[in-house]
Amino acid sequence: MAPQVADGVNIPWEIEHIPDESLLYMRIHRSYFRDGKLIPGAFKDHGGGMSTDWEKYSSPTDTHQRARTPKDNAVIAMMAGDVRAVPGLVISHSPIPENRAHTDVIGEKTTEVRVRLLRVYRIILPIEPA
Amino acid sequence: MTAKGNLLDVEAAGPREWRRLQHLLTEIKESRAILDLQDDWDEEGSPGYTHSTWKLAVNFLVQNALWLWLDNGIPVEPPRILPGPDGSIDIHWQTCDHELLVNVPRDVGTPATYYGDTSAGESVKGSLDLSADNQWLLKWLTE
Repeated sequence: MAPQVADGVNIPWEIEHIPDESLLYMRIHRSYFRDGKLIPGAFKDHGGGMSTDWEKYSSPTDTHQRARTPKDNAVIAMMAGDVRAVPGLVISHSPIPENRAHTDVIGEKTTEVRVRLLRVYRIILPIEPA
Repeated sequence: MTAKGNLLDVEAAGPREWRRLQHLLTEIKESRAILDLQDDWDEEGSPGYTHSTWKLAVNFLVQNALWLWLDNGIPVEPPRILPGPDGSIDIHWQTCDHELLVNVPRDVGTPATYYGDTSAGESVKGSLDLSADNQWLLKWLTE
């Protein structure tokens, strides 16, 4: 797909298909951890989708550094195919000017979806001790 | 030994049952900390939590746990009471064989929802009338 314009802003990157075996990185604030594990509330939408970064264009450290306060965030990884296997979820590569890796996980984050997502993540960059 | 439909039989409850009830009360008490979370507590714009939403979640848990105990002599496995999306409260159980998530929304007009499944592949899901008798859902955790 050709480079696009969104809200009057030129986005220099094309939208690509994300293979099932690709990893999606996601920042998680320390408030969403209990006893070292994620709580279901970590999986929520922000602005129409759940924001992640595609590993093709972002490293875990890149994702981590985009946080408002990086030291208060961990980074988890989920395999794209595992996310697609959750009923109702669609993965959409949606690059923005400042982040070519930006990818939305679209679909209502129901109780079922959140329980299933809890089973497909792993921690890549843990939280720094408080 | 467990209580069976007679409040006076509470004295017959064993230490395991009392520990479960104590853990439940402790979890409820500690969950009040959710109310201290202010708007944007996660640095991603998530709103804080109201006392009424938290109380609704706690009432659901206490009432159904109590009736499960009184009617069936079953002490409920203590869940985690957690901050959910958009000012909602999550009640989350994970046992050896079952997982159950109940979500109590901030909006009073929106029904509570639940999803649960077992290691054997059975599942339950739907919406809840929090004012109804829902002890069947807590009992499902023990089956």
